[in-house]
Amino acid sequence: MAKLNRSELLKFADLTSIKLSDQEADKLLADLDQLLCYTDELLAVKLGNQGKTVRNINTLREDVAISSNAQPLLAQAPEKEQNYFVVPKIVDHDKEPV
Amino acid sequence: MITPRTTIQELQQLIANGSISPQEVVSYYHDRLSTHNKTLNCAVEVFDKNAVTQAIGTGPLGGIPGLIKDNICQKDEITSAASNILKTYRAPYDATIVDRLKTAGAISLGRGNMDEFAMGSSGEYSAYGITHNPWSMKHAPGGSSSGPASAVAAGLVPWGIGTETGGSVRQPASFCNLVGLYPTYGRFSRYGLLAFCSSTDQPGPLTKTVYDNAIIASCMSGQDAHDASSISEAPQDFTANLSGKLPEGLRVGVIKDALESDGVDEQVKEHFKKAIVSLEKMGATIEYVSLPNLKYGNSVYFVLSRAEAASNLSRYDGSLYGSRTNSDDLVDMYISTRHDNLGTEVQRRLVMGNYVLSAGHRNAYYGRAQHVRDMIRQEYADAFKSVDVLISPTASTLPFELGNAKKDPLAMYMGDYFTVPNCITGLPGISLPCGFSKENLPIGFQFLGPRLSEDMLYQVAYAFEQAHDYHTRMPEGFAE
Repeated sequence: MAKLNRSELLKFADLTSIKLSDQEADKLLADLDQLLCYTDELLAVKLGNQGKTVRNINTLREDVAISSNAQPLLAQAPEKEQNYFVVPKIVDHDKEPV
Repeated sequence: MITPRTTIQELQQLIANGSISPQEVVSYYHDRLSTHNKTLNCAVEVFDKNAVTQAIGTGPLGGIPGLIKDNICQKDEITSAASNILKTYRAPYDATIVDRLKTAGAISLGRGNMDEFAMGSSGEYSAYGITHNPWSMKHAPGGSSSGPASAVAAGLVPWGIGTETGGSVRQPASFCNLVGLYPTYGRFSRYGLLAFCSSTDQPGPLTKTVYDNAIIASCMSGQDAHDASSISEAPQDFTANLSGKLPEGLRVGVIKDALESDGVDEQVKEHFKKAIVSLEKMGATIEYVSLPNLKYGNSVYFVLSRAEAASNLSRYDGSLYGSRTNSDDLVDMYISTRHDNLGTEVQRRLVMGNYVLSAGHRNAYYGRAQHVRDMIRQEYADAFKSVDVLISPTASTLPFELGNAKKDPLAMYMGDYFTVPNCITGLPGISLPCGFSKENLPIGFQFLGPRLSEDMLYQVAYAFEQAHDYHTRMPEGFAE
């Protein structure tokens, strides 16, 4: 199995909305490589034939709207205006596609 | 009247017979926690003394204080999972288990320190500083429920609530001479827990004794309409069958890996063997059980937990609550906020999580991990056809020195070898003390049972505990 290379790592960091400095990327690459080498043992496991031993059951509730007070939540907003959470706009950068 | 050794059971009696008031109890522990927190750093925050005194309720746990891990919502308190990204977040509600404890009259004295977002096994990955093991200041209390474990071990509070996804209640219990339970998955509600690995997360009690643990677990138990993954069982009284005797004809399965593996510390093995001999003398039939797929537990857990974490922690982006690093651009804001406010270990796990879930890797890693998880589940089920409980050491190492975990994260993860497999299969396990190393560091071992067998686990653990005196020992400097 091909191991993680630096540009792949940066791509996954991007997907995770995390940016890494060069130094951080080097360290993470080494650590992840070590971990992935270890988990590669899963690729060699002879999978058994047994089906799922547990059945997943959906627990449903009544489809009833519950109204609650938004104020305690809005009070936490880093930035707000009236009843809105305010966030920066999405700026159309010339970003390299992921 | 009260000492650091006093148990919840004893406190209940003292309060009930009027020997001491709930106010005196809360005052005693609040003073101890405030004083010793300066050296142990087991609480991110100790709540105001007047406020907690006024909040004392009535009920079976009336006036009995504890420490709740910082990733469990306590209404109107900061709940930060020991992370900078939530350092301003105030929980608008109580977690269900907190609500149940309060309804029983219990008092929370503060927020227990922990590894950030429950990612760690040492208590060194908190944004609020390292927690120390009261048994030895230079040693780790274990993690991620480091704070509650440290506080209970030092007699600063008689109960703590931690959370476990792969060992984070039982391993600190083992490192701190405590009793810690990982229940059947779904036994305790996860409503109000800051999710890390949703398919294994469970809160769990940390106490000095088995009986105390059963008291807290009973209070927490029962289906919760707010948590669709909580099992449809009524609350249960786990103290009901604590006779002090092993169940008649108990068949105990020793997990052979524990005795054969080089990865288990020699002193841990030595004390584990003594526990086996004790159980035999107490009337148990001992069998040796091989669980060959157990060794894949860690790999399965690495993959599944990181995948779930990547999903669960994607909500922490600075938009609605918590810390925000400002930017002109929304996406930059997400990225900068997370970079500035999430710890390195957290970032490491999230990136790996997205890697194993990504196209091209998902079947290889995540798909396989799920399949191997089922194989491990089947292996346990087969083992429980011929034995009633399985036993193993809880942690494969002795409590390690602070600083060691960061040097070798993989070695830290390996310490969870015996706790991870039952977490990923949702089976209950209880850790309790079985001795001390030459350096007087605690060693724990655990009983594992089939689904819904907590009653039997408590019975067995109680019998073992009462036949020994490990639970009566306190760390030096904290015994008075």
